[in-house]
Amino acid sequence: MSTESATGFDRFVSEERRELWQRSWKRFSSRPMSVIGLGIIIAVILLAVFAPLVAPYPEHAGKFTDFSNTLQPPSLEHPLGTDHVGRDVLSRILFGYRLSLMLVGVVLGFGVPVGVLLGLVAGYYGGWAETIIMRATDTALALPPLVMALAITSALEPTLTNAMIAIAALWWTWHARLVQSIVASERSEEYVQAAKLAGASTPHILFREILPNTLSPILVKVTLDAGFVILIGAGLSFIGVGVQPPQPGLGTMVSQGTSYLPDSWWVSVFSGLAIFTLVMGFNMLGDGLRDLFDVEVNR
Amino acid sequence: MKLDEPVATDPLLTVKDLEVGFESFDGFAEVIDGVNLSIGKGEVVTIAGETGCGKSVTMKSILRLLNQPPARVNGEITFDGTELLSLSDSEFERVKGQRMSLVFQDPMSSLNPTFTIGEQLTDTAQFGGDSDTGVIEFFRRKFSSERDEARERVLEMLREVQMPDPENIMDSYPSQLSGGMRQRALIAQALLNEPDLLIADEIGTALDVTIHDQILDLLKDLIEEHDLSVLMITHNLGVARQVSDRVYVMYGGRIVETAPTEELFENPKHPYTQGLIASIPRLTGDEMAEGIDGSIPEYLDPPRGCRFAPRCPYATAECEQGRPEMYQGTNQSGVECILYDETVELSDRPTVEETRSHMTRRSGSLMGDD
Amino acid sequence: MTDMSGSLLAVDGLKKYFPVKGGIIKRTTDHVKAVDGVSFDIERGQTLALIGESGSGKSTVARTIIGLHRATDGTVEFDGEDITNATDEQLARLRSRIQMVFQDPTSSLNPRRTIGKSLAVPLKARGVPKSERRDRVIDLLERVELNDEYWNKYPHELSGGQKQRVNIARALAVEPDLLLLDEPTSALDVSVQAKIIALLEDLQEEFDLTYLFITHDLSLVRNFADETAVMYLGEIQERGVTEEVFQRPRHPYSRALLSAIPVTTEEEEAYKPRHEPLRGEIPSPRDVPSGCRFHTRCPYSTDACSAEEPTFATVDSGPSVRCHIYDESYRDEFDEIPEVAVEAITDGGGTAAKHTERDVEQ
Repeated sequence: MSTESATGFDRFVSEERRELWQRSWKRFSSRPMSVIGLGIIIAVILLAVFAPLVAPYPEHAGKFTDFSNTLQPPSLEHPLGTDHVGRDVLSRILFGYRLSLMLVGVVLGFGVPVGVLLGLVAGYYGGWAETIIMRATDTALALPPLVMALAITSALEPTLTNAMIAIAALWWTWHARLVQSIVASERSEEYVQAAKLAGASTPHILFREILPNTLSPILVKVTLDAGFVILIGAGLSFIGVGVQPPQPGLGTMVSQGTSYLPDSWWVSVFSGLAIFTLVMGFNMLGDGLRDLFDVEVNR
Repeated sequence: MKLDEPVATDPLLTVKDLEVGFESFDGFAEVIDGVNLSIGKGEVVTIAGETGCGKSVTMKSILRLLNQPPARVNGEITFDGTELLSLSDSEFERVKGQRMSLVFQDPMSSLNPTFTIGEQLTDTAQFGGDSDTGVIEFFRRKFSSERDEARERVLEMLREVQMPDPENIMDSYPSQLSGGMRQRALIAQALLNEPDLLIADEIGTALDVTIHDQILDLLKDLIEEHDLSVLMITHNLGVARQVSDRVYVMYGGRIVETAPTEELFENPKHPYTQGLIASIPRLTGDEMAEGIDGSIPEYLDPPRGCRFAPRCPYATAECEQGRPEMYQGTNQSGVECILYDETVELSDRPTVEETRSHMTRRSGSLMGDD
Repeated sequence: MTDMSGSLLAVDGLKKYFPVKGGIIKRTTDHVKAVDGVSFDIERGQTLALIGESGSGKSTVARTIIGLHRATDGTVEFDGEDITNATDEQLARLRSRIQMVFQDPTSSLNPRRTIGKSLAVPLKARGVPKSERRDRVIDLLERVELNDEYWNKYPHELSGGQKQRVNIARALAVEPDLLLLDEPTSALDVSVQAKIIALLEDLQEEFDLTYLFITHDLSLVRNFADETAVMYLGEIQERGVTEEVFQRPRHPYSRALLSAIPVTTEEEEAYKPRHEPLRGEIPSPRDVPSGCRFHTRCPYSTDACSAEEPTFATVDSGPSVRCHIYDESYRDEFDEIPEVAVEAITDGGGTAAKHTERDVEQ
């Protein structure tokens, strides 16, 4: 076939693709909740990435004190007030988002691929592979992540890194379970048998044929999980085994602010609201995606 | 432009100018476009057509089973003198419950898996058509002697549909029954309240040939015995021929042809009907047409004139301009095709043989049809 | 290529039992006898139709031949090679010679992959270099009368008939000798079915394909298959030249199947055997009736039928039938027998003498 017809093809490809995307976006955007959710997440990610540029007092994110300026109520200078050592709450929240998103990235970045891979293997092969992987999963699922993280961090050292390891070490189980259940039903689908008959290799069947059919529920679950991970992280920080002061963990800030309630309410309330907004964002987006893909996610 | 559909004498149900559209993300899909049909008292009428022709949507709009929106239903549906579309939901439920019954295609999903056949059918016998009984009345009836009477009636009906071992079946759950038995249970349920109109949606299609055969035999007996008027929906022309008095052939959301069964199969007029009949494999081994080129119309943007024109071997420019009239023949037949205008020579009208030969010639084009 | 005259596929006494696990420790408590001693062979370039209702085991036969199930017993020979329970290495080789088209055109295409990608899979497996694959896929699409636009479409954008064309194209990609067609048109409308059947006929001629055509629809088979085998509960009940099976169905089950088809013309109505509705339901293959498996539903059955299993024997040097009616030693047991049997019994011998008026049509 000549190059000319090949370019003709490519033009065709992009048109088809664009149409597909347009249709998907149209359906997605017909649900205002999910668009708001997506908006919140994008805004928070941008703010977190550019925190050093957009935060009014970037230096307040660390070990900064200004005792002449402690516990100031919201004002033009400090829109969300200052904390007990005079740091700007808004700036600290923006840097706090960085830590929260990093936690999400590490936990899901490790947990999802591992869980998906184990789920694929267990679901496709069945038998012993399934028994071993799924019983391990069941065991891990019986342990509440928060309690496990608490145990690990207090046994080792209460740092953010240890908290991340602890949560990530449990998180794969959710995805292994989800993927295994999908794959177990997909593997008997005729398209898998047809691929087998066409001579496709097992890796091809697993990653090219079956995996794409599990992506929608995984994506929905990842989005909903993100909110959950942030809450656990904040919870650990709140009880002092996550982000350590003076680092600006959102949970840490809520916890520190509680000492000055109810008079200086802004520290706890605003950092709490910051957590709430981001978690809501992920949940709204997740619900929207779930409706869009029309999938069931066991949680 | 629209002429009256050939009307049954003494009609029980008439549908006039039915239009049904659906809102969708891609726009408004005009699916049913001016359907007229009627079912006489004691008549068995079939709507036949292939996937996507609108036969189920027509049936669902008669029974108000469409969600509005996204569906929009316009027209007139008259049942024994009562206009149905203007009734309130509860009034409609009363008419439906007392006088119409529906037998669904899928016998498994139309029975509740958590109740025994006996419980479900006895409830129908006791409460069918009485949607707002009230709690006290509900319990009073459920635990009174009326319940036993209703149970007796159900048993009687199960015997009538030739259910094997009906006493035991009463205490069985739907999952314990075979497909054929579930279909029988549904037919019994439909007949419990002695409806005037039975609507049968692809009855028995999911069953095996020999079981399907039994169910059709049973249905024919019951129709006669109970003097039922029946609206059948089917994609199987053989079934239509076996059971019904008159057939409506649907294509692209319109009725393209109607005739008494015998006439329709002996002398099909519309090119679509002809093509469809020619495509059915013959037991006798006669040559079978190689199907109809092209695909069913896109409802978002249907052809302006005759909806079959893009696939019709006889189509002319005139066909694409406007919707053809329903040309009426004798005894309740009619065909929506301009070839049946008085001005067209008899010899210019297509025969099944001609249509078959048009469809047997290999097109050679890469239409990606069907 | 081996000799052209012999059969391409020979199945002998094939059995496939599925274990039923029960109890707490999942022991095998029972067997579903899906296929229970099936034998047939197909000559190169010919079509054998395997007909049956649900539970007859017709699809299991195909899946066992192609190695999707392991055979419990019996042998499958392909082109002279024993391929029963083939090794992986054998399977890899066989898959470029035997292919299958599934019943449901929708579920046999991956919804997340474009047609082009799905069709490239067999080419990739055969080692066709990436640069050539697209052209080859377009050739394949053209072979099934689809144009190159389909390359980049997803299955949901296609109609049922188009999807089935793609499935046929995928099966053809490896240039097979034998195609197992598992009810390839039963999910389609008649006008589309007619087109797929016409396509299959053309392809058979063009590529000298051999077909095993599995269906529940007898009327489809009449013009399509050279030989017809009627299955019931895991056994072939009647097998013979299609003409013969249709014109003079001998087994009561074949007769019932033929008579149950809702036909559309008077000629066909006259052609059908007398309407003999069957009693009751199809028994479960888990609990196969004793003696003749069909006796629970057979309009002719007698005590002998439930007591002893009939043998599969040739009648009038024509088709083979598994029925006591055609066995001389059981003749007195039956009060009533089908008219074909009367003929067979009154002047046993050559078939030519007993042509009925029905045969005149041919």
